[in-house]
Amino acid sequence: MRRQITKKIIAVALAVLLVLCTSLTASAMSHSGVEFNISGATFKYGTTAGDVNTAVEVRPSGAEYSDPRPQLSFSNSVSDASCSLWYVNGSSVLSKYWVVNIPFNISTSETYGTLKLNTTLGYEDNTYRFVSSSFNGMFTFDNPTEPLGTFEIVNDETARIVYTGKLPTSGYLQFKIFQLVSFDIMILTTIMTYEAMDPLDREEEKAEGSGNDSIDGITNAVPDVDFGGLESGVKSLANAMSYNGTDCVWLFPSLKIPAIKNVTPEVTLSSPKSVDLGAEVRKMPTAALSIIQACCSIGIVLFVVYELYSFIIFCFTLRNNQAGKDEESDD
Amino acid sequence: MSDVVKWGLLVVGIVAIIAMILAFGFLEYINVSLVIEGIETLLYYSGSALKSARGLINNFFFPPAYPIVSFAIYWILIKPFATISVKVLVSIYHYIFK
Repeated sequence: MRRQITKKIIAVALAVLLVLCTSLTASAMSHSGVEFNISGATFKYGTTAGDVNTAVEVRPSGAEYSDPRPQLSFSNSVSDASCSLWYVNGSSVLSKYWVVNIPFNISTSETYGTLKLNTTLGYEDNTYRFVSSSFNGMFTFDNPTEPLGTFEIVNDETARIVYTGKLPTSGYLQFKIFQLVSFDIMILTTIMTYEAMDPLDREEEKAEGSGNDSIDGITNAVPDVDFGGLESGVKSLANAMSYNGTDCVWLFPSLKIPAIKNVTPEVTLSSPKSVDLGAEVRKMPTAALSIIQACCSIGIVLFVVYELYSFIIFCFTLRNNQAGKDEESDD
Repeated sequence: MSDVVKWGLLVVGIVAIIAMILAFGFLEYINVSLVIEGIETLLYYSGSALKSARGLINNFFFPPAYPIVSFAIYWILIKPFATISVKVLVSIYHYIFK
């Protein structure tokens, strides 16, 4: 008897937990925005506010700007030795292989998760580029000359990337660009003049660096998996679930006969067409559509009530739709 | 056996299983990033398709019912995981408090 009660209490607690998780997930997935604050960052060799303000741009990188990796361009020349990324805890300086954990943190200060950019490599003497395998070869930019955004230092502990570019028109590109620019850096780029450092500090730094190398050796042995993109994909799916519009546009690609060399050029049979199936439905007689809507609305309510009831019964009995019968025998 | 010992044994068992899986070293031969990226792309296209489908479905409901439809779709997707979670949790508690 006591076991029965315990089991039921656990089941109820789990159900409550599931509902909480569901609601929290739903609320976390319903945001969008283009301005991103950076909090929790630490400037070790503090570039003060305004020093690199507007001097750093977040741009698509690559010669033809076909490379989606964002890069930071400094107005002044910055050598490898004088540009470092620091962990928030201030313990690590990695010169060529910087592991950057970038949590999504939109201006509403709600945390989305973690997007991990694998490395940052010096591209030119004044440009540093974030590199992530997730971004490689994904898309091209519509307007390659336009910066994606600016990297602004607000104060010693805060900076932000403000998106200023124009989003490409394609949905997938929008998605990737959003993913690309909607990050929040807890580790900041700081410009430090290595040569100007105190020799003692330099020694200390070197010792700290070698210690960190050991730690990194161990850390790198563990497979580095980037789940940021996966999270964005799930968000995309979740956003689709909560879509409240009635448009249903399907894009049919153009039909072409490919060119045959020295015989015939490419022949376009039809241009791309978008068909709104929702508009076709709305062409139905209003009365008939209303009846269908009423029936479907009542049906969905009944379905949800039935499903919830079934799940609660399942939690208590571990059997589907059979209240009062316990699957397991109690000894 | 006391409950604490049982919990300890359970944790040790889980850690041992994870260590065993990692010890196989198969992750070295799988490009996990590419797999994740593939799943991500699939999810994105699924989202696009679901959005279009959802737009069509919405035409057959009154607007106040849209949130309920959202919940129903969400529930259909997570129901298997919720069911399995309950079963796993009950199994663990059954083992502990047997």
